[in-house]
Amino acid sequence: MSERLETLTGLLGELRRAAESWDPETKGSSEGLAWALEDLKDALPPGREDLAALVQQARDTLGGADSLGEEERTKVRETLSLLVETMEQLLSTGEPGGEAGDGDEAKTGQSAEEPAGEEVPFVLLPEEPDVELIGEMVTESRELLENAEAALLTLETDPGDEEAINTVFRAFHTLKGTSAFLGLEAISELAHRAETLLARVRDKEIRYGGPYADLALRSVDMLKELLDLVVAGAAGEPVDRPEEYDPLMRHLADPDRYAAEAGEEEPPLPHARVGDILASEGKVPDEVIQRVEREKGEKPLGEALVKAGAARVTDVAEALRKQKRLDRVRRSVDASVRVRTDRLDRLIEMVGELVIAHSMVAQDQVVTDGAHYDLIRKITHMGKIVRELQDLSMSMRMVPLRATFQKMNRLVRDVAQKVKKKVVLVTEGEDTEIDRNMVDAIGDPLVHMIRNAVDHGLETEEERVAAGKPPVGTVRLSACHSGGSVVVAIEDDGRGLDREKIVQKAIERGVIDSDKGLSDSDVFQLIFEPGFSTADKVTDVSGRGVGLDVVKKNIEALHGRVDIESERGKGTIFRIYLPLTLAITDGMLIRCGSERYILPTANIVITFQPKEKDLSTVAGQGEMVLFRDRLIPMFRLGRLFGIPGAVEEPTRGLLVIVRGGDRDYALLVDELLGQQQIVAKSLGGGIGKVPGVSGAAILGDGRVGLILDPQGLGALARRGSGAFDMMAV
Amino acid sequence: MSSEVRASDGKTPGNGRSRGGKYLTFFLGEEEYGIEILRVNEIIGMLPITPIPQTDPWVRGVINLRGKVIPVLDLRLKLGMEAAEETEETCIIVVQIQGALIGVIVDKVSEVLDIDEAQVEDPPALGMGVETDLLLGIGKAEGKVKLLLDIDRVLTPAELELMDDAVTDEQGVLA
Repeated sequence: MSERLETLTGLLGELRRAAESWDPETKGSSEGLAWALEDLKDALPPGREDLAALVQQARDTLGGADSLGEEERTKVRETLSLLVETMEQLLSTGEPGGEAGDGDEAKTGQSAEEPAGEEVPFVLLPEEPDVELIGEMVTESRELLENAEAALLTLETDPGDEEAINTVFRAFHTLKGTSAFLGLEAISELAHRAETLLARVRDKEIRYGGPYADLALRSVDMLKELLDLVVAGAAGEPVDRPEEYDPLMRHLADPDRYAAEAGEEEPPLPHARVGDILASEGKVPDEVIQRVEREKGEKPLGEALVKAGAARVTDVAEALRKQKRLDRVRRSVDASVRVRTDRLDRLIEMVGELVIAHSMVAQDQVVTDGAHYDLIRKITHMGKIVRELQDLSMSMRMVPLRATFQKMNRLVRDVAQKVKKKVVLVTEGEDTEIDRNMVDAIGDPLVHMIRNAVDHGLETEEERVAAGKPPVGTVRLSACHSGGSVVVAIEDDGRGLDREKIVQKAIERGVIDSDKGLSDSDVFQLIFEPGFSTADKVTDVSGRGVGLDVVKKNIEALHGRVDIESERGKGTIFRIYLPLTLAITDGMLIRCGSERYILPTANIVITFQPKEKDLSTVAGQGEMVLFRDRLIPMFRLGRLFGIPGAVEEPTRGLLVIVRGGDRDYALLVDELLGQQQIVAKSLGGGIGKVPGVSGAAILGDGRVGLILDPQGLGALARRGSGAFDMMAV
Repeated sequence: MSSEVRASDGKTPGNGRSRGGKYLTFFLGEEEYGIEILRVNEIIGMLPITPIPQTDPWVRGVINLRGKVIPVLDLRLKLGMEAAEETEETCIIVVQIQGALIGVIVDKVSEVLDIDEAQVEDPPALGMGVETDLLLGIGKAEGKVKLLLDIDRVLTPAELELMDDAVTDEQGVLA
């Protein structure tokens, strides 16, 4: 086809020259022109009778040109030049294979299916959707979109990152194909337009940024929404066409116009600058960073800081690495396989039963008699394998928090933009794992609290500068394992909580009468009361006071708790403690009477047998024991739980000093039976919460052992004896 | 007795639904009771029970059911009868309530019977106490009377109460 195009172009060029220099008086001029026309006609592709006719017409006019008057000749010239122009235009719009439309409608290269502005028919699902296939496609597509979103955020700071561009392009491309295959037209149309946009970025036709970035992100959002609608629609629910769909499609059809109309937009917020990272870590004082920035000229900030002796090379290198980590998408190089969750759960359950069955064998009398050495060895060997299997299966349940943290990047960007502040999100410990079932549940509380931090916690740029803080606010999201829990912390370097304001609001609402005797952290906990908000204005981001009480409820539903630490002017830290319920924990098996219980080893300080002289009572009710010069309250497990046969004389039993929350106490039990690794299970649906008991575990002999909840147990005990309210221990 | 089996829909509470169907019958003392077979998961012999403190007396404790920890209730106590001595015939019937498995201790399991809707009568208003609220009806088969239990009623309202109490306790504790 293009050869023909070249030929035609050449011939057209010749015709133009002939037409321009045509002079009927000159001998041979008309003939030359006639030949040029003839050649052109011959070279025209079949099916273009219209063009052929035009050319023929021109040729015919020439026939008697010699005898034409001046007026006629001018007409001929005009016709010829019009012909040449028309043909040139036609040829430049693409393959002259009969597909090019009329010259008036010809557009530049990109194929636009509909002229921008026409309504796109919205076909979400085909007549008879294949629900199963659609389900699979939706799962796959959601994953693709998540990757694409992370890649798009990377492009914010590194618009040239080719790998990121390709990730996004592939996502749209694959989505287009699979949705078209399943008849999900609305999705495939949108994906197609988004893909086109990305293709232009990839081919370096446009630079990623500003309005183009917005279009890309909006496309991802809309596709996510459409996927949700498809799922609902396939299940038979009625679905509405999303409002955003048409405007987005229009903008995507002509992104350049959109870009022009969007006007001068603020450049995307800095994701993480080296200076900010160093300042937020306290490695370099802020004024120094500002000064070096001013004086550094063209040098990169890190280099300048080192040269000026203001920062150590290792600090700068680490900050750069952190920056890279913050910005870069972790491309999964690990091969992975998709597995149905119910199968996985069943596998884990069976492994659990295997562990129990094995220990029942290992504890069988025949084995423990000790006479069969070979048998014992084999069972021990088997035990090692079974334990490793158990570790593996437990780990399959755990997922790193990375994905959740990455979602927060997008959130921070959006909220910061909305409230017009400059914010950087620093994450730490994304490799920390929590049980899969908790990942979803913890997402909402995190979103709430990060919103709060950005909207209320952080001051505006002006306020920060006036207070001598760096203009860019920092929100630090971190996670780690500590003492049998997963601790997720949200820290901001904003204005901190105002104790007086909170107290005032609480008194107003009748939550407390006065703040006497309340520590700072007690006062801060008040903000979790329903309807509580000390915000002066309600923005649509937060401030309605609806969020935090729900957050606390959600966290407690996971058997976790929230702590608040704050300093006026410096910032606030929210700490969420979540139990590693489904992981294996270390427990100490204790006996009380004929019953056995498990105490998490993490909460045990020390055990000892008390001497008569160290025991004393308060007000005839509360008992105490002197241990290393500390008076510690003593509680009897036997009495708390009504266990028959429990030891009465503390000197004949064992005292376990337990850390329960922030107060220690000594628990009287009969005997320690040894440490065990246990898999904590809940108590089963019909019972609800039992104070002092956090769950159950299956012991080696197949019986159930209740797991004690140190904090709850302490509280239970204290309720019984008012004596201890008098003492601060 | 007709062998027609009508599946009972465990959803609508009370006497609105069809009461004919297959029932698992068992003894508590001299009285014979029945539970819709569709609600029964399995029947097991007695297992060692781990008692749970601070619970009502009819909550005997929890057991290990093939790796799962499930609560076990003493049906005699729950229905207001006196506790009985465990015998070789004492069994645990594992039922499904609102998605959770709960074990129920009974003296002796009898058989699975087809009871026709026509054979089921409303329980007489004898002022027998709370018990009549818990019955779907009284079925007659082979000349004998079987007390058909509405298992949702038997276990749920008390559970809710229990859970509420426990929850308030917990909140009081956490304050």
